[in-house]
Amino acid sequence: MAEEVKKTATSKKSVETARKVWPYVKEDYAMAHEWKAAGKPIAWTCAMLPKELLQAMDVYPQNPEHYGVLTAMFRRGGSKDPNVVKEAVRFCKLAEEEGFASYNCGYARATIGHALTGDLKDAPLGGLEPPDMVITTSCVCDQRGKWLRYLAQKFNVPFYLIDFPERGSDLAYDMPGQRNAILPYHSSLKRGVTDIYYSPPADYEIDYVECQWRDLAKFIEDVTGHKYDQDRFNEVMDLAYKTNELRLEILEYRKAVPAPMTSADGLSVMYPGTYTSGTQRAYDFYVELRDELRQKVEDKLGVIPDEKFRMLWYGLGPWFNMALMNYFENIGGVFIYEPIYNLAPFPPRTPENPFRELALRTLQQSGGMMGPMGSLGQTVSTLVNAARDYKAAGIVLFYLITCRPVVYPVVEIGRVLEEEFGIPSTTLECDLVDERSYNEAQTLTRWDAFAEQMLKKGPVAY
Amino acid sequence: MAVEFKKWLENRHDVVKEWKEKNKKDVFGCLCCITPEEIIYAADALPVRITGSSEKLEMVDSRAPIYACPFLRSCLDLAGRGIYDYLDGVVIPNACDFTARMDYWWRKLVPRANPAQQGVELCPYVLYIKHPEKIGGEMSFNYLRGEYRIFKQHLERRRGHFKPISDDMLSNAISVYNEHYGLMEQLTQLRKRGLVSGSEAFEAEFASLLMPKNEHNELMKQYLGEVSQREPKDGVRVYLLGGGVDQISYMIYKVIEECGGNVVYEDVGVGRSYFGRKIDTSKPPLDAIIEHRLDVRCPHCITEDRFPEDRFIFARDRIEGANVKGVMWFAPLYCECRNLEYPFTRDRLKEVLNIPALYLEHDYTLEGIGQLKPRIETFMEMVKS
Amino acid sequence: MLFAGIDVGAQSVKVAVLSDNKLVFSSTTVTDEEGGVAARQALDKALVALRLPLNSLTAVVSTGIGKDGVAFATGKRTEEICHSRGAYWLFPSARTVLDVGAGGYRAMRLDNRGKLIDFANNSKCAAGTGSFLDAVTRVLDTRLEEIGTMAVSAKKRASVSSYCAVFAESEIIGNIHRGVPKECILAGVCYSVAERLAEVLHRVKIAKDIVMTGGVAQNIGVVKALEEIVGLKAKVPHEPQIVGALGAALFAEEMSK
Ligand code: SF4
Repeated sequence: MAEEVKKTATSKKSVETARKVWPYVKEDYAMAHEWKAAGKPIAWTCAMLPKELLQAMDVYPQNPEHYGVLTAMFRRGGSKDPNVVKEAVRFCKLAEEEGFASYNCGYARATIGHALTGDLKDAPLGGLEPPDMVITTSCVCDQRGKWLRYLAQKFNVPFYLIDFPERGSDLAYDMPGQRNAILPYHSSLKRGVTDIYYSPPADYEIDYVECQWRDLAKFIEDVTGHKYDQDRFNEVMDLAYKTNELRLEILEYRKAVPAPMTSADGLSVMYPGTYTSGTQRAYDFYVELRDELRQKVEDKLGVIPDEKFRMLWYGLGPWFNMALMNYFENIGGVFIYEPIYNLAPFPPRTPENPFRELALRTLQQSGGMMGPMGSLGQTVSTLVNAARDYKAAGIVLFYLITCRPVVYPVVEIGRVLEEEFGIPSTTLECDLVDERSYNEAQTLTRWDAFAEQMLKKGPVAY
Repeated sequence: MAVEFKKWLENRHDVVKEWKEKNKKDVFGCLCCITPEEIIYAADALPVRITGSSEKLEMVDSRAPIYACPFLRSCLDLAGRGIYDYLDGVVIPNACDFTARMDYWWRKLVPRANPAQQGVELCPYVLYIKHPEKIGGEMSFNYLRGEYRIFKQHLERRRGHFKPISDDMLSNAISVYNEHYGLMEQLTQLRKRGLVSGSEAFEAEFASLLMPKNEHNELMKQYLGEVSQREPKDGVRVYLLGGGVDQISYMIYKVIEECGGNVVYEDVGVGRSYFGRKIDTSKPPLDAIIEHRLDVRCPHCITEDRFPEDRFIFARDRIEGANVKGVMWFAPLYCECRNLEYPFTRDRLKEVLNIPALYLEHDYTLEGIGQLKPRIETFMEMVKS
Repeated sequence: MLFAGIDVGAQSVKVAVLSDNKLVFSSTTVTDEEGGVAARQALDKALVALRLPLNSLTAVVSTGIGKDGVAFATGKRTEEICHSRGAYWLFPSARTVLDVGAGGYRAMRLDNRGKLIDFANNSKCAAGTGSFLDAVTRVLDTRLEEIGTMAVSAKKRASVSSYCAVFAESEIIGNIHRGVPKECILAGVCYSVAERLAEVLHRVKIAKDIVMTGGVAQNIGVVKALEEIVGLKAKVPHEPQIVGALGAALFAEEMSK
């Protein structure tokens, strides 16, 4: 089996709409180039930082994080020669030579290296445009704070960090009038870990984030001269809300047996919602995806004709070789869901104070129900819930050695799923864009053994 | 080293247990500088720093991945093995992605049930403080006040009894801690005059993390009296940045001295690194503590500045007038907070102050630290002339 | 007056003897003995060759990983310092020095007076060191001396891209199984070693001229690959492996002034 893995960066598509992601991405980068050429402001930012305020204030968001993904897929100048290293490798090396340790996130190293070349245009899709400001967040990981700060320093542009306090140990004391509703996070679960609670954010936390969103609007006004306009902001917030509802609906369809869509596609269709939320384009994209999935589910059309075992994918994409995620398909194994950058319902719209609404939303997402973005206990229980909801019989854990939030819970997830739920796991151990850290022979030997185990085991009764 | 310090350094667990037995008081384990020790002290409990050890890891691998800070992994291992069972509570701030998850592991590895009301613990065994990642300004101040109020409420409800922590109790704690900060400042001045070496100063300060500050203050006064009589003696002066403070990482001070250097000031996780000033006694006590804690330049935190270069400025202010020849980083493996700051800070140090830097990474083993010696020797030789 | 430098490395001991600022003797002794003993044996050999008693040496400086074990040394200096000194003495145009030995590699930057201004070392991983090349000779069943010439004769270069020595070995084995000719694999190996070396060079910001020292500098395959990667010619002394000992001897001379 090992011989069959082709070294392609792209995976097989399980849904038609997924084919539209690439043109969507290309268009985004082309639009950024035009935007810059027209003298309009560009902000470098990141996932998990809602883009709505930027959209409403005519600031074009570009995302080094996503650009990291692109560098993993291309060689210099579009070369197909295997002796020419991938751009990610070229850039990561430059960053390492500058003194950034190789244990840092591949996205960080790749985009720092990209910036260090001094020629942003000599890179896939014409590169990122030089930023006019850098706006990042403290949530999810420490690296996005420090790495984007370095980029701001490098380009000598204003920097803004919006802090979402997160990962509470949610066993907080019931403070009168504040943390008063403590809900069992997965009370419906019968077996196993049940001691994790989700407490809604307290007022002082919401105040904190709300103030910062307002402050960010002022920051953007200062840097760009664009004026904040509440009506405009509300329009964008409306669209983002509707888009999120669609994405939640899509998740429901993805629970169907046989699975209508793979995790590889799940990771790729994340793009419009993660990086261009609050735009009509993103909304339209998910309408199409929703319709396609609805049809597939009605027609009982699965990704593979004979679905033998269903698996979760834990972690981000191995972007340098996404074909890995199709590895089990010819023996009937399919990755059905990837609980990362997990979606949660948005709080209700409050047009009279969109900043507070956004604060509440970001806090709920970063501190509460967001899988690897929450506390470790929340991450584990997210995975437990996902296994049950999506009827998974096994899980592949991406031991993402350079990403702390993904790698820290790995051992515990594997242990709890195996010991308490009898769900076996195997691992992929490397960086997500720097293929120098990947050992194919070792990985596939492990995966083959795992496949046998899965075939023997058969489906799980939930 | 004054003998009294030595006892607390070399035998830390037993000495604390003994102290606890004798004084019949609670002991809280803390991680990192940003923990508001003063509040714990005011609650009539002893805050002690959690540290690791060079012993072989026994159980942490079954719970946490190896791609993580070796210092914190060692701390967790000790917890899982019951070495920290004498603690009555554990305080964990979110000082990095790993510490932010320590609360989960600690609760799992050291399960303790405390008195509860409607299923919710009044004072959980593991207390978690979400320190803001963005520091400075009113926003983070107001936020941290919310966190500290909850923290204080927990402490007030220890063992299920309500025992309020009054402003007087807080003020009293502040005066003990202020005396400590003042004594540490004197120690720093003696270092700059070449009377106290980096390793000696570290020992003195490290002891303060493991013992009650009032007792430490007494020892300190005696110690300062002794050492101020000495003749100056010095090595090549370096400024040290790092993390994971304990008796293992302390070895770097020794190695540097063996190589002819001397750490004259530092930015590591001991109080002196960050608490250059005293707590403001003209303000309401809790507010003053918050303000003081927001001054900590923990590498996890980011200042509000639009054009941030805080790590450099912080270093520059400390180095000023200390005749520092070189700057050394001594960061644990996988410490991205330190590492991601390094290249920019290094360049600024070179451009503005013409001081070269050396980045050393350690795996938190004594052998590993020993292996760094040749590079330190070369660096000393390089910066000397 | 005579001055000696002794470089106690991971696999061999190098000796250099200076008289009147001239190199009068040099040797490389491969040994299994422990550092101090090996150093003594190597020095005795030198003295025999020069027909001189030990006390005729005015000063002896040791360097290398075993420098602390040389009890009779009158001084010791680190490898970075000694290789820089030796290389600058041989080539006053040297601004970047790259030393690649069995146990590790290091890049040094010098100013125009030969003073060390920056340096960088290899990470813990063995890839890129001389012992990695040794391991390769075992896997490929060749001799160390052949590697370079075989590599430059290759028409194509096999890919050995991993940055970890253990992974690289499994890649090499994969190449063998696929029937890739030995010289192509060796070309790939040399290239991958050179890539590691280029990394430390870039860390100190390369300036002309580059001087390469240490045993691996004798490997023409690595040198050529390195020149290709950094786009500059490297100067290689006649006996690159003794440059550290030479630098130590120069320090011995300086100490006595
Ligand atoms: S979450 Fe992980 S992969 Fe994403 S930016 Fe942070 S460290 Fe990198």
